[in-house]
Amino acid sequence: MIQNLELYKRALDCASNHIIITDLKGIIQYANTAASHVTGYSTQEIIGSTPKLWGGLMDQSFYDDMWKHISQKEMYRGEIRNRRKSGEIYYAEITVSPVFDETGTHVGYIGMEEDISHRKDLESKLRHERDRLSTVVSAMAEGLVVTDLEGNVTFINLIAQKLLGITEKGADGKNIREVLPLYRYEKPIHKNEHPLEKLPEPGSICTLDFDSGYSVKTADKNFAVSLKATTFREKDHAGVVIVFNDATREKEIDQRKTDFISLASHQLRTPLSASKWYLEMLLTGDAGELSTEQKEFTRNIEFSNNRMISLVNSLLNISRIESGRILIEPQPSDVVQLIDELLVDFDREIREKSLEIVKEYSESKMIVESDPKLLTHIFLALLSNAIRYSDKNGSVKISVDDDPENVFISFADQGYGISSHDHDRIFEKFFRGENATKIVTDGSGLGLYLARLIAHELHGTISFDSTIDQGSTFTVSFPKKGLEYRKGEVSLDSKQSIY
Amino acid sequence: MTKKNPVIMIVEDENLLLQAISKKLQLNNFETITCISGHQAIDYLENLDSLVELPDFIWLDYYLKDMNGLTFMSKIKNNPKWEEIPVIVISNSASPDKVESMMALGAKQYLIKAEHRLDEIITTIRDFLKEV
Repeated sequence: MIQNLELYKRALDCASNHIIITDLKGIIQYANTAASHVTGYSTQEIIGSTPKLWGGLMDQSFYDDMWKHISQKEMYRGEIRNRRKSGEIYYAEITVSPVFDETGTHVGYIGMEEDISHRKDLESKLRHERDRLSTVVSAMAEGLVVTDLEGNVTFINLIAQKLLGITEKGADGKNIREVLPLYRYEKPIHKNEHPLEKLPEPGSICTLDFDSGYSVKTADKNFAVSLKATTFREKDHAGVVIVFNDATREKEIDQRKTDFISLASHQLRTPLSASKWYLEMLLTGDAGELSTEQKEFTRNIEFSNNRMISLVNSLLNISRIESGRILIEPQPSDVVQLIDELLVDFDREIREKSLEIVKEYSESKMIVESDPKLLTHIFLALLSNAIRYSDKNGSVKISVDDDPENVFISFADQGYGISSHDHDRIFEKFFRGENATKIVTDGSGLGLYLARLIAHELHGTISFDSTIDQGSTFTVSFPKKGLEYRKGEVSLDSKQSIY
Repeated sequence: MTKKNPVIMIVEDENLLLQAISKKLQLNNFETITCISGHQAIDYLENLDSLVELPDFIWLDYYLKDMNGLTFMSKIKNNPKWEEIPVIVISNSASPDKVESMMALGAKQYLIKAEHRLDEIITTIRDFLKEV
């Protein structure tokens, strides 16, 4: 019996929790080693005093409540703030239970404290972090929506609520497709186009830009939108973060720029038409025969004038595509036929330079469901570059190939090539490679820009490979099917070569 | 009876273009009526003494200073005396909706000025006149 008691006492001393036993008045009769360890008071100091020695920092109501429980012989559990002998404050979870002797008489209390300062500290840091994050997110100028992988909204910030005309409650659990209805050129976007359908890999970003015609339309909101979506995947946590903003103002500015180009282009074409027609009359002898030299000079003027017309056409075409007002009419089109027709148009240039045209067509017909006019514009830009940037007696290889989904068309020349430090900029508007500007002086730097713009409209891409003085290969690829008809206010002009 | 030269009415608000077109047409054995505005053309047609004097063909610019091609075309096509006159639209502004609506109203063709030589346009007109 005595042995057992000794064992229990040792066990209590070994416990990591602070344990005390008091009499009914709260006078401490026993304290284990941890009690002294936690409070900083020695066992001698503790025994005979009350827990007020390190406590008493809470509101009176806390102690009243505790006494109410334990005096009714109930267990009490709560969180308490105490002070160590050193003056340091600590937090503990306490449990106080009544103690009864072998006859069942209530003789005192046993109190246990678990030091939770560390946990409290973490909690407070976490709370602070969360508050800070929530302040930052609320203060963000962009709308922010977080969803699970299915698109169900799990968080929506204040700006997003304002922009979408929805409350946090209203959005909770709803699908993002419903909360943020996306449109492109006034039509609901195709299901597959939704950022949630093509979830980006964590780390990469899916972007929808207002200048590609995206907007958001809800019952009472309608605005041009720029949106970015990213995914996150952690252990048991995955979802999509969508950041967006109202791009109405940017769109207006963009529209004004486009209108300006369009108006300027129309205005420029009228005097160019007059020059064109008067030059034609001069050259056809309508005002009398010209001398050989007069003819030559007039032809030069005509050549320059035609170049100017092409340039204006290119600018007009660019403004049309950029404004999203371009008509897209998919129909069965034979890529091989389109290229062969273009080759006829370039016959003179090809012969003048004695170029060899090598055709590597995997099929004699390559039928795709796409817009033949727009395709022709892309081929025109790539073919005319291949010819213009080739030396005499060079060769241009045209390849047409496909896989089950896509068609690949390459134009490979052995010409001047593009210097590697120009590679990044070659598709920029008005940009011309350094050697190109030296060798072929007349060029607007619009051809590749326009070609890529059009390729995007056809869901295609253009890539290239080029080494200076060895030549360039430009490859355009686009899907065989799936291009949707789009009603547009404008179509592209002219299949003249783009200077 | 000798067949008289076809008469082309040119409606074009740019004077230099108007003169060029007229000159070229005359050199190609057409007679021309030059009108610098839509109203001038309508007035001319309204004041003709006889239907015999009606032009054989109208060369129409889309954007005129006083009206657009659509208004002009409606006036022509809604007048039983004029509705049979073939119209060709030659403009520097050719959006699909304009082209569509003009063709729907009965234009023979819609061409872009800066894209065509006068020769080509005259050949086109000749072809249409042959059909008539």
